[in-house]
Amino acid sequence: MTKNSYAGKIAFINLSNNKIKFELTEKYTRKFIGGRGINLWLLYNYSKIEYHPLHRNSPIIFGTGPLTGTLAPGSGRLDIAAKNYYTKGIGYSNACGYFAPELKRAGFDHVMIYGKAEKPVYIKIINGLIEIHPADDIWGLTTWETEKYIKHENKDPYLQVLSIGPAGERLVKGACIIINRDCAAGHCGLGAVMGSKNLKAIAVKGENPIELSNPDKFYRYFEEIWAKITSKSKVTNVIKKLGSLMYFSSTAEAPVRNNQDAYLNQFKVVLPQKFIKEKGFMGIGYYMCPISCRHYFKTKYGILKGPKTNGLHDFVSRLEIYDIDDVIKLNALCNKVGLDIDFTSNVIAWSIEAYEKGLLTVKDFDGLKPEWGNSDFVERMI
Amino acid sequence: MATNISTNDGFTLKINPVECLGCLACVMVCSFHHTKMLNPYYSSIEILRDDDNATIRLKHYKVKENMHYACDRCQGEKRVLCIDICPTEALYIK
Repeated sequence: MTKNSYAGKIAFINLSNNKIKFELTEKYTRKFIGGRGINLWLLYNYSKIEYHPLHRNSPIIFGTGPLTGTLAPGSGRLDIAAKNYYTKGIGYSNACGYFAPELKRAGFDHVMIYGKAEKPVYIKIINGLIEIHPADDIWGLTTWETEKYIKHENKDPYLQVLSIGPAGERLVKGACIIINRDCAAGHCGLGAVMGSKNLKAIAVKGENPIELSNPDKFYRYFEEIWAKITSKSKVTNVIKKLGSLMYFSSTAEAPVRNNQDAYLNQFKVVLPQKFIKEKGFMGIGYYMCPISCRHYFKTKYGILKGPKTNGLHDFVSRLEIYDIDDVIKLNALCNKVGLDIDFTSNVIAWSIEAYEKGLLTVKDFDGLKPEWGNSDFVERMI
Repeated sequence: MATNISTNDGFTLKINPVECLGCLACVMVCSFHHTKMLNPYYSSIEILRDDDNATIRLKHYKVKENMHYACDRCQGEKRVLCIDICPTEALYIK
């Protein structure tokens, strides 16, 4: 067999009877390259049209591609596919972080999970060995606490953990899957799909190397591309400094107050260049990604990881919260409980507008007074 | 687990933790330099991020430890790869 960068195996884990079977990735790579292609092919083959997304046999698939874990820039993404909780059609989302390369080094290109555990469990994959552990102790914890607990319990700080928060456990439609505290696979209600299987988390560690079929040629291409990305042109400098936040600063175009307006008058108050300079002190990039989409911020609530562009769109413009500390806190809160920030802010913005138009009353909000720009109200709603 | 730095021969890799993004490009090119394969556990450097305190630490393996290869100061390469590859110039020699 020639060397290539696939890990070589796909694991199928049935949580109903704790049985695990394996297949070779080779079987699928003739048809698809990897990642989302194989994920959706597996979903198509193992799911049935009559299955509800939260049906016990409806699968959820975690996949990496042939470039994952190599030197290719931005190759740290994990693709996750399952039936879409919103539309009942296909659903997929992807997230960054260090999880995907670790999964591949642990020996699996894809991991498919189906069935439903009787009690909460978490899966541990270490160097090709798959174990299913009880997760009664961590059921109900936030994603941050879960990650900490699993690392502490296994006495291994090198474990990479993917988990759901209380939102996923309670099968909220906007529940997402969180990796490394703030990398979210947010779309399609994947967190709820995991929650419906009583699966709290997956922890991986892999020490096997990823091989390349033609290392020298690969390295030459890598050097060329990497030099272009990290060159010191004006554009790359802005991208490196602001990450995806630069899209927010370039125009004032934003969905204001539940899309009632499309121009944010006060956008200069929350200019990313300004608040990153004032409060940000460290950029964050993930596996082989030289762009710092997020930053650590010193806020009045402590040191927190900041939002990406959509975080600003969601909380600043859609809900008109102009205090950047509050925005960062709300973003972190959503990550903790495992909620998709787009979903959360849309629902809250919709409810505020509905209240304004008289469709909802204070009674519907448990006595809270909904208003634009009130971060306490938003926090209570979350 | 502490790295033995008694063999210090004047080549110490340092990190500017505020600049480092944690992209691990340095770690991966190092493992590629040693083995032509990709595995952070083969690398002579290790970047550890602590999310609680928002800090980044560098561990420089000057002698072989577990699976980590000892740093050979990029012998056979034109430059010191990890320093050269860093997008934010966070690594430097002291």
